[in-house]
Amino acid sequence: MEWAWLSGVFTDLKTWFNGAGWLSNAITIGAPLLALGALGRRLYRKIFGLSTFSELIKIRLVSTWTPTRLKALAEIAIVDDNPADFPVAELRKAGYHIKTYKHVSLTELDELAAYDVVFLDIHGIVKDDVEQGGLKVLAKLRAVNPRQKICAVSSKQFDPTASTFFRQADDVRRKPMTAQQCQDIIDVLANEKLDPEPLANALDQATASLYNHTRRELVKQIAAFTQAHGAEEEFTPSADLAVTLGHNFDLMIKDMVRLLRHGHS
Amino acid sequence: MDIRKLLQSGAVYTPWPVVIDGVICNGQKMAFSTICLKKCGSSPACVHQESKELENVCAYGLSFFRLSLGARAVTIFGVRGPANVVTHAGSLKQELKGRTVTPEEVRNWRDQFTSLLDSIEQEFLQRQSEMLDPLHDPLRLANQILTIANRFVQKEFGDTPVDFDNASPDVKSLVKAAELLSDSFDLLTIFFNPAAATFGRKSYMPLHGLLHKLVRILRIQDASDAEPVRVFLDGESHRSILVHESFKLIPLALISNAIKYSLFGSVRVRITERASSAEVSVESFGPPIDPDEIELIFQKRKRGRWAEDLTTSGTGVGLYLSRIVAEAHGLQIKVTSFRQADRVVNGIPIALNRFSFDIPVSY
Repeated sequence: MEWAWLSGVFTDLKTWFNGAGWLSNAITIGAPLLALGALGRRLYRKIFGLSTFSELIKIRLVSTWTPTRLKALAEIAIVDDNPADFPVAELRKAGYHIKTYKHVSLTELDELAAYDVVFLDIHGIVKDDVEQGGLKVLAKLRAVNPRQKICAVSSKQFDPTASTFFRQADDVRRKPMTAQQCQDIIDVLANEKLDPEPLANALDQATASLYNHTRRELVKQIAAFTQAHGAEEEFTPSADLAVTLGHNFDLMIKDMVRLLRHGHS
Repeated sequence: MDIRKLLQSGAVYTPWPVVIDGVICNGQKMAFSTICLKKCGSSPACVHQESKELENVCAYGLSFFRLSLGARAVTIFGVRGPANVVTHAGSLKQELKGRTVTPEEVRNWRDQFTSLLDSIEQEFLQRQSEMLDPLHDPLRLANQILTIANRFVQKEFGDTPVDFDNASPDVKSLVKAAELLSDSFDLLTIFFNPAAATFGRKSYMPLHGLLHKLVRILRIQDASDAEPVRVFLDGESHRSILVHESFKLIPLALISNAIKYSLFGSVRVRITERASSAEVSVESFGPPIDPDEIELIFQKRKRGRWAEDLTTSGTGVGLYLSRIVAEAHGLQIKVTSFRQADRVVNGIPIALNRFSFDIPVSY
C-alpha cells in the first residue's frame, strides 16, 4: 500500500511518454545520458589525467590561440656579414623578436640552435671558412636542432659548390630582402614549427608507443609544470623517457612547454 | 669530363682493350685479341650483346666485362674471366693464355677511375666557383636596384598597374631595366648552376598576375628609336600555380625570344584555362622553325637555320634555360611553326611560331 504512490508515478510517466512524440522521448532520455557521460569523462580526467597532448592544448590553448601570437613567441636570428641587407628595424617595429649575428663560431652554435627561425648566409659568416662557412653552420644546426627552420639567404645560387647549402635549407631567398618578404617567410616557417595542433599531433604520435599510464603521467607533468614554474625553468623529461623517445621528442616538448606558457597570454 | 678522350689519350692506365661510344682503345698491358679482330673487326659484337653487369662470355668464347664510368657504358673485351671455362685445346685456349682478368681487378680499375673523375669534377667545380665569385656583388646590387626602383614607383605613383602606367617614360624604363637586369642575373644563375631552378620551396602564384607583370614590363618601349614589338596578353585566369621562384623565367625567356625574332605583327601571350590546368602560349610571326630544328633550338648556343640568317643578336641560351626550368617543374614546352604562304620579310619566309606549355592550376 505504501508503494502505491510509486506505481502511480510510473503510470504517469508511462502515460506522458506515450503521449509525447519519439523525438521528445529521445531528447528526454538522451540529454541526461550525455550529460552524465560528459561528467564522467571530466571526473575520469580529473582522477587519471589527460591522455594526449591534443586534449591538453584543446583545454589550455586552442580557444585563445591566434596565429598572431607567433610573432611574440618566435625567436628569429639573422646570420649575415652584411645585416643591412635585412630590414631589421622594420621587423622589430612590427613586433618580431630579431637578433643579428655578423659572425659565428663553429664551436659555439648552441645559442644559435635555440632560435626558431634562422636566416643564414653562406659567405663571410665564419672567420675560419669565409667561402663556405654557412654550409658547415647549417649542417651543425641541423644536427643540434632538426626542428629549427632555416632560410638560406645568399646571392651565390650560381655557385655549383654551394648547391648542398641551398638544398638543405627549408627555404631559399636572395638578398637584399624587403620587410614583406621577411615577414612572409617568418610567418610560414614559425607556423610550421610552432602551430599547436600539428605539434600536439606529432607529440601524440611520438608517444603512441608508451604505456597509457606513462603518457598520461607525462601530459599531467607538463600541464602542472607550465602552470607552476617560471619562464626560465626548462622541463626535463625523465632519463628513461628521453632515451626512449629521442632528441627530437625533447625538442618538441620544449616547444610545447613554450606554447603552453606564452601562447595564450 | 670526356671519358672517351681521357681513355684514348693513354694518360689513364688501362690494362685491357676497351670500347666506349663505339671507339676502341687498346690496353696498355694486353693488346687487341686476334680472335676479336678476325671475328668482329673494329666493331666488337659484344658491345651490343645483352649482358649482365661485369663478366659475360661472347659468342666466340671470349669474356667481356660491362661497367659504367660516370654516366657512360664501357666494355672491356677480348679477355678471359673466371666464368669462362674453356676445357678443349685449340686456338681459343691458346689465344686466351695470358689474358686472364678477374672481376676484382676490373672493380678496382673502375673504382680508381671513378675516384679520378670525381677529383677532376671537384677541381673543376672549385675553379668555376672561384671564377664566378666576382658575380656575387653585382647580383646583390641588381636585386637592390630592383627593390629601390619598385619602392620609388610605389611611393611616387602608387601600387596598382594603372598607377604604374601613369608614370613617366623614364621611370617606366628604369623599372623595366631593373626588372630585366635582375631577371638576366636569374637566368645567368640557372645557366651556371641548373640545380638552382629547384632551390627553395614552391609557393602559390597567380598565373594571370605573373604573366600580366611580365607583359607589362616587356611592353615598355626602350630609349632606342627602333619600332617596338607590341605584346598582348589574352585570356583570363583566376587560379594559382604552385611553382618555384624560377618559374617566371620560362615565360620570360619565351616572350623575350618571341620579341627578339618577331618580324611581323605583334606577340600574343595567351592563357587558356582547362579543368585542372592552364595552357600558356606565346605566338609570334618570325623565321620558320623546321621540324628537325625543334629539338635543336633548346640546346645550348644553338639557333634555327633561319634565325641565324637574321642580324638579331642572340646567344642561344634563352630557350635552353627555359627548358631547364620547365623540366625542373615537370613541364614540357611544345613548339609548332606554320609557314605563312607568300609572306616574306627581308628574304626570310614568315611562320606563325607557337611555344606553349600546360601547367596544373588550383583555386
